Amino acid sequence: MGLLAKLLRGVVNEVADDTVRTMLRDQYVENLFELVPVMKKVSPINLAEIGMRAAKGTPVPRPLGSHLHFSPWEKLLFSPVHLFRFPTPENVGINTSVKIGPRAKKPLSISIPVMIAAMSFGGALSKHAKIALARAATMAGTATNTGEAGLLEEERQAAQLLIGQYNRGGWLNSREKYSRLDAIEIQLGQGAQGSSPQRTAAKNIGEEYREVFGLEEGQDALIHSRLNGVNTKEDFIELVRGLKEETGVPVGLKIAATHHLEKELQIALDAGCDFVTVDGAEGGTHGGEPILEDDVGLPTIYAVSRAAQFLAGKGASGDVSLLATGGLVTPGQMLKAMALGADAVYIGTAAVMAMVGDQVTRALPFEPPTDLVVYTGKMTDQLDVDKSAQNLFYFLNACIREMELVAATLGKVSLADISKEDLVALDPFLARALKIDLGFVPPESQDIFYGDFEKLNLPGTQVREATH
Amino acid sequence: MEHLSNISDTLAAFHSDLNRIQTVAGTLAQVERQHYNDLTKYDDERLTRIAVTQQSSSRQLGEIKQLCIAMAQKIEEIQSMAKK
Repeated sequence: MGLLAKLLRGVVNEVADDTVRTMLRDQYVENLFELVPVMKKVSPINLAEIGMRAAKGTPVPRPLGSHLHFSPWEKLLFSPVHLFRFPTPENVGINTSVKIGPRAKKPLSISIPVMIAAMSFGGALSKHAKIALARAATMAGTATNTGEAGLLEEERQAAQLLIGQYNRGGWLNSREKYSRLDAIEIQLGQGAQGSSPQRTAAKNIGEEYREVFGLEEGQDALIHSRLNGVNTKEDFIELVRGLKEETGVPVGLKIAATHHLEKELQIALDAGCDFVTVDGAEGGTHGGEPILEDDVGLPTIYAVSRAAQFLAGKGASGDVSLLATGGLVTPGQMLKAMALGADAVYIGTAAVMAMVGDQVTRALPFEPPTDLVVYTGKMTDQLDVDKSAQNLFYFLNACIREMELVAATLGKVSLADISKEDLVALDPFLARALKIDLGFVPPESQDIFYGDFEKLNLPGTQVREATH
Repeated sequence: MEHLSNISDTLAAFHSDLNRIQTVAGTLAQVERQHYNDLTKYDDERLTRIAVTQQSSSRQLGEIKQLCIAMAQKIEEIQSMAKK
């Protein structure tokens, strides 16, 4: 060991000893260690956001949505088969394609049931990022979504299948724009922000943004809480019917999932929507107020289950596609959402992370990786579009391959065939809510478990005759 | 009547062609899947990248197969309605 290293170790040792001594001897209220319980009590995130609010006096938009894990996906497991039903032989292909809006004049067919979520050019992402997302989607045979924006020509060119949001800003709501889409999603809300109004200040709006959105110089971009012209249920029904008639492509409704879900979906059915998109409370965003991200909405897992049960109850399953989104980051979560009844899912945060991939090194350690992709980022020109598209394409491919392996072990030949019957829950309340068998007891004992524990034929318990 | 007969013949031709496309798409999907299996044996990064593209192509061919099946079924429905 060199002299310098010895000296350094000595210094570190002295400092460490002194720090520990001080922490153990100082009054707790004057002790640096108090930061640890305070951090644990308040949480580092809340502590930082308290400071940010205190510094600015305004809400602090947090990127990428809530950090809370509302949906207990880990409490659901798939049930492989071995003998009573056989697994799918490995030489058999698993069908991964989905048709969205099968009753529309021109349904949207995608090769894989995972699409790129609505993340707008300008409001959220840079042009390079949008093009990369579109290219990756095209490579994988799936669709990408405009988000609440105008029609970005480069995105349209790069995306073989483009779902456009008829939005509360009004930027895509003219016939010459929406007639160039492969599906129209009427955006009335999103998981991360509910139906709240939003505003992008003019100072953050560049020339190309203004051009795509049709804004004047110095004009803010405003997303209203209501869609212009839709103030009654009848207005909405008229809008949906008009868009369907004009374009022939699937027309759907996107809402933030809430406890009013079934009432909202009934109106979507009345209007003849071809698909509905439910965005759970875990939904991401470019920047949303923490209260809207953490304290508003309904978790994706319950939203999908409730929406699927509602559509089934109305006899609309198969006719009206159910798209799920909000916090789905692993292929397991995506497939579980489909097993609960979603026909396809959107991914946003995971898609952006995958797209950036190993390019994070260009931003770290002095800038956050989001600086490479968000419209206002300082490093958007350093995002390699080809590399980004390839990264996301590989990610999508890997996710679907993992899903195919689950399908094979369940004995299924199509991802669409995977259902709640293939799931088991590890929580009694969740099992009841989602109408899934509870894994604690055999299928034939499910009702007994909830009705009378003593009647369960569990090892070490005495079986008693049921009394009538 | 001649007009209806032409439509009937055209539908039959479409049905036949769709079955052919479906068979070709299915076969090609299987070939692409086999290519994926073959190329990933070597544990070579470049070959794996090609394999991944083949795997995705296989799925897209699978989608075409499904579309053909659905269209052929629709034609069968139209044909049976026309007979009535």
